[in-house]
Amino acid sequence: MDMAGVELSELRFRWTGTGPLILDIDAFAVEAGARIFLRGPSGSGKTTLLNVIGGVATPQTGRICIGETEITELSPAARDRFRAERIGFIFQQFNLVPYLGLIENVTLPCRFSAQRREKASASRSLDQEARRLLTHMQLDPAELAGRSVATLSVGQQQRVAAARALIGSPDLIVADEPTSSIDADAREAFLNLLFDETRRTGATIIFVSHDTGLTEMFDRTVDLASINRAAPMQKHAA
Amino acid sequence: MAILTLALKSLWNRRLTAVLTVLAIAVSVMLLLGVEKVRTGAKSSFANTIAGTDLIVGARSGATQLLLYSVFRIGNATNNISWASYRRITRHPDVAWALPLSLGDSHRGYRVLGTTAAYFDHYRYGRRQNLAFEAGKPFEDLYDAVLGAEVAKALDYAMDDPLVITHGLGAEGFQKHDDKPFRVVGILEPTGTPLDRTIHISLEGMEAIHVDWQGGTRVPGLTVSAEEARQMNLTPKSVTAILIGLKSRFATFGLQRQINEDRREPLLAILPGVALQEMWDLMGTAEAALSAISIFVVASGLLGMLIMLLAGLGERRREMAILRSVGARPLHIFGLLVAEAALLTLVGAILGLALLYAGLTIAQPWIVAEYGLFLPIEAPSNRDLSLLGAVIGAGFLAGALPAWKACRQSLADGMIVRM
Repeated sequence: MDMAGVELSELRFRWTGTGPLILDIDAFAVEAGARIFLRGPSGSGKTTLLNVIGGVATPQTGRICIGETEITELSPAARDRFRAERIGFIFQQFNLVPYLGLIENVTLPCRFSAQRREKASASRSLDQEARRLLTHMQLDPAELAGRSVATLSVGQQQRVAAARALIGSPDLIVADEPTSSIDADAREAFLNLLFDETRRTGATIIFVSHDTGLTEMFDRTVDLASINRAAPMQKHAA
Repeated sequence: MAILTLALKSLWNRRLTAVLTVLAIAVSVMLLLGVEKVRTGAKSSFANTIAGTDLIVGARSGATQLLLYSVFRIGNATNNISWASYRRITRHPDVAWALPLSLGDSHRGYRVLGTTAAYFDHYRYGRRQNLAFEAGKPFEDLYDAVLGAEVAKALDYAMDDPLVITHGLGAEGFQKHDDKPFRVVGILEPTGTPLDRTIHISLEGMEAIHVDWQGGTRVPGLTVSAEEARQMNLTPKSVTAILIGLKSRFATFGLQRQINEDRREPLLAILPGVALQEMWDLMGTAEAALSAISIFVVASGLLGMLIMLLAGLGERRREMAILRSVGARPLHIFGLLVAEAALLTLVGAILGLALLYAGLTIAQPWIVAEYGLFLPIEAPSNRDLSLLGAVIGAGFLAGALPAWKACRQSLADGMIVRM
């Protein structure tokens, strides 16, 4: 089982060459298999940081290592491939591709990564693995199979997205406020299901949220404003 | 493969707009190839109709008009040629054969041609092919008729069937020569030319049905029975046109000049090939205009597709972000949009081709009957395939613009789009 921590050092990022500095992080590390709660107000650079860790945005300076791989050294194509193979994402909402079915949405990363497809179908077929993950996320694939994913409730959609992030056992799960659209009662249940599965695979979780009520469920809480010198001061104070 | 599957599913998800776009492209492709079919069909049909005839002679009018009414049975003669002129031409030392043509009557919409039995020996079509009989033989009796292949097939006529000729060219004329019915004695093999839609009778037969007619109507009080007509002098007073074969082709221009300068009767002699070329030149502008219109129709169909794809980009930003998050590269995003455009164009082109052939199958008999134009239903020509390839290529190119935009957009948005 591969496990990957995340390590950032001397990271500087601007969206444009002369634009304002968005990320200015000297050092930040997440241990392999850890569950990190990353909090920060709007504008503190959370979304940008996730794009940078995901390899979609490239910092002007600095290093980002995920496991043994320094992704800042990779070509854009190799970063895309690395993302497909090693990282699972869950977003705040609108997580699913509307024209794909339930199982197709879950197995979507496997269309772009042969390695992930092989890992997902190591012990059972790809479809069976998708069904297992959906069932684990307390969804009934047989009952939902005929429905368009657009008709699922927000909570159901988030659980499908979690199953997609988990398929093929990626080393890193990045979750961007995945519980913000879910009822308070369902949030803990959602996280418990997510953690159950990542505990089994040993994946690292970086969980971004405003909701400080969930921090106790994580190994560590990091305030982004405290590590990102480019975060606005007033928001830092908040 | 993954991208192609995604493109298919994405289009299926927007099937109403996709179907409308495909239909727009299909109709434009059908029009483009249809114009091409009509153009090439008309040219080959016209070019194949007559061969081995050195000169066509008619009353003085235009070369194209003479060619159209004498050979293609389109339009009418403005005047006739006197029998005396016909006799003079046949006696000319350079003339090997001369076939008189007498037109003006019809049978159930099909033109009736009065001529001599030599017509079946000398007339050539296509690659100098002779006329051949599917059944029967040339006319011998006064009231014998030889049918073109299509007439026999369309009217379900067999040997010995009677037929009544109508005066004039109406499909169902009021004035019929019903007192002198003809009998089918021969059916020609198909030629793919207007001959297939012609009923051939003898010049004397043509004269016989008109002995008690004058100025396009029956002479009141004068009735000549079919048998009585047999006893009369049935030498025609005039013919509509003459097809001439010469002993030597070197004599063509000399005889043409002699006929055109004949002071006894204003006549016009034309070379079929030259007249045909003049006709193409005349039609060239119309052809170019038609082609230009059909190209613009294709462009508007592709423009519709472009608008559909561009309009959908805004609402598809989330979809692109999700695809990027699961490992799709910008090239995949580009490929997805191009694949969608290519699929729409490809399906549109294939549907357009199918519609064209369906339309041809349905409309072919009508086009033949109405315009005398035979459009063969045959496999697409190389030019058709080139045009189809160009349309599909243009579809790919049209898809490149939204694809490039989506690609740029996805690079700017990254994985997380706040809608």
